[in-house]
Amino acid sequence: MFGWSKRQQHTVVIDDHPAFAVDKNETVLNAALRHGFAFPHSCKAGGCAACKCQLIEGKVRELTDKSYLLGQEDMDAGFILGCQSIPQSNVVVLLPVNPLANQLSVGTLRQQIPLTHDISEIVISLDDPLRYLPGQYASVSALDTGLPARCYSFAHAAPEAGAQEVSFFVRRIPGGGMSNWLLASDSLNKRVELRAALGEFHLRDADGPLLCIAGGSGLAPLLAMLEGAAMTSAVNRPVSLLMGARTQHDIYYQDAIMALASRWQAPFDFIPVLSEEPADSDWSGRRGWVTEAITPDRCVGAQGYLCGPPPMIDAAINIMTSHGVASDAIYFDKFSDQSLTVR
Amino acid sequence: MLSYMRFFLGPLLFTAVTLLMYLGGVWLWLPGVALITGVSVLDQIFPFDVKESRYRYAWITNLALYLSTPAALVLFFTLFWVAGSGTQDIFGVGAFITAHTGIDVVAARNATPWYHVTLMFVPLVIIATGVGGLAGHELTHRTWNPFELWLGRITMALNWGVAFPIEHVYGHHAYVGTQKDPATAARGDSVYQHLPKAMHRTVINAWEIESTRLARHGKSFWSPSNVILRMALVSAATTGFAFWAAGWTGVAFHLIVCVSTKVALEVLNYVEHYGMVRVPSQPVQPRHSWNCNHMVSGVITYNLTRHSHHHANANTPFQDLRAHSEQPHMPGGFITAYLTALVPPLWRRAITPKLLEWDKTQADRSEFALLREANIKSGWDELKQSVANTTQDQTVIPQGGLGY
Repeated sequence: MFGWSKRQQHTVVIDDHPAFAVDKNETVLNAALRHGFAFPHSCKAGGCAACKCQLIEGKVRELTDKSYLLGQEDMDAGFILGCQSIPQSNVVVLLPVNPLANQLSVGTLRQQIPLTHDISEIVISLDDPLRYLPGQYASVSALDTGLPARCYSFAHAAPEAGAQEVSFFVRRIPGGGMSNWLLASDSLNKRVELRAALGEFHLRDADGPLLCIAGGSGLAPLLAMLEGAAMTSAVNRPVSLLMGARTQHDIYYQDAIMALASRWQAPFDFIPVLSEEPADSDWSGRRGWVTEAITPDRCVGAQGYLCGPPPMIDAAINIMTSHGVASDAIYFDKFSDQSLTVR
Repeated sequence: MLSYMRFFLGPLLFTAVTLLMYLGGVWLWLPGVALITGVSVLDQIFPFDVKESRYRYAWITNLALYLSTPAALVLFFTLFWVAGSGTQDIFGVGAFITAHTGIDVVAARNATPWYHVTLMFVPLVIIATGVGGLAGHELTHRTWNPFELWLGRITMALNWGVAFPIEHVYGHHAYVGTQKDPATAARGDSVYQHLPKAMHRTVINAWEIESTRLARHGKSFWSPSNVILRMALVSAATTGFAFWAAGWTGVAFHLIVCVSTKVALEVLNYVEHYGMVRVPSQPVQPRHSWNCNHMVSGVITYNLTRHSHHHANANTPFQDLRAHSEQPHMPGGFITAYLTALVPPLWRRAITPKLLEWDKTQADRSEFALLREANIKSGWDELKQSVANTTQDQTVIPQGGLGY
């Protein structure tokens, strides 16, 4: 009745959720929280950018110089800070497309399980669960040490709601900082910080076979990926898992891989290839370079997933493309195994 | 009406104390000491102020805030006048006072023995922080209002507070309660251990934050758009004025006040956030600051004492901050806590029960692991009784958080 006396309320739509009304001078974030929407946020002072979102429609009044927080690309794409934006019209915002990015979790280093003479599985229990796609990695830093953060791939798949406990395969490196810290017995029960989920390495939808090639600790993301795939219809895709190692002592996780293979609904070939196994040993499997085990028949209609040292990846890509695999069907994650950086 | 007028008390009292400094002698320090003592004592006498009045006329409370800038200008002018000697009398202010009151203030100044001047710097730390820092802090948060932002930065720049307006908003508020925050003191750190680290990192962080912003605009650090450099120009002009007014004595007086107010502001941060712990990915909650509802402290500091709400929602104007009486309360009120912090053994005795209580009644389970570590690292045995240290680890998904 007295429509003229009532200030018209603006509304906000987040992603494809129902619209809600904003009070006078209320920010997008505060309105969202008031309506029970779990809008990501942290400092509410325009200092942390946890609440950044993309303005798709409408106008907002911005309360701070957002170039303190956002890069040029983000600003060009219309990103705003939820806690510093007051709608001046009805607005539509999108939360960052990748909800897995920008997660930060603190945890405690709980276990160090030796797998080979130089690779161990380390287990971290987290205060807040982390969500990631199997195949992605985290940047790990040790609180209270000056060591630079290093990246490691998650070695196991995560439940839908996120993993409360995560594992990484870590190789001991002479003079290595972070890796050797993670493996030191003193570091048990110490606090670590993880930034996740990083990287574009994860299983892509298709029906064809999976040709997976791992070198050294590069088994981790492939193992996580296959564990994850086993819980989906990808369990019907034929798998060849080629694992390159130096000697029999360097092969690990064989039992878990065999268990995975036995649950698989399609052929699952696990082929370890040893490059430095003594000629007179009892090893009856393949010898030579792991890339020599890439045969034309394994490449037919296949997607390639490669993880390991850069020379191995480069050689594998060459061989696979020569067998007719399109280069955009080959996904890889290069580890610099010999340098200080180990994922 | 009183609820509005009380916020004018700060700038008016500080200005009164400042003007009395023209009389020289004990007047240089006695009124300041009396004011601080008065606030501390009255805080204990008055009941807690948990009233959350509704302020319809924000322009009145804003005016109280803006008054701090002239109050700060008067304070620094007076300081430089006091630094003068012989016939120095900037703008003939001394002659003006003498003509109107019959008191020969220039002679009184010149006859003041050195120990009164030395003593002057003690209360002046609090007075200068009061007029410069408190309103400056509130105004630099108002990033949406160019005038208020400008006024806040100028006021802080008068005493070389050029890093604070940047670091505080874009650093401290984002990192509060975590190890990345320069202003959150670790459990076990005395104020003297904490200060050098905090002051150093505040400057470095401000520099980095501003450089990053400039780089995003394709500009170098040495650009006219650099807010820190622009504020530094104001600071340098103030020091230059001090030199013009009273030579090197003026410069020395200015720098003593600048350094001591930086220290004072960090002590303030020390008592506001001592030993707080937050999981970095979790939102800042009211419990991540020590709150204080003492009435006189609140009035004098533009409600800075209502720090819990300030950090949980930094865009709230000072008059609308909520009392949060259920939140952790700093020991003995603002000024008392502040003075206690300066004597580390006393601080330890006062804050330990508070920390243990915080762990028990305020901390989220997800913070226990961090707390346990902080308590052990503190080296304070009494903190090992904390529930965080005696409780078995449990897997707990924190409340709230980044809800995707």
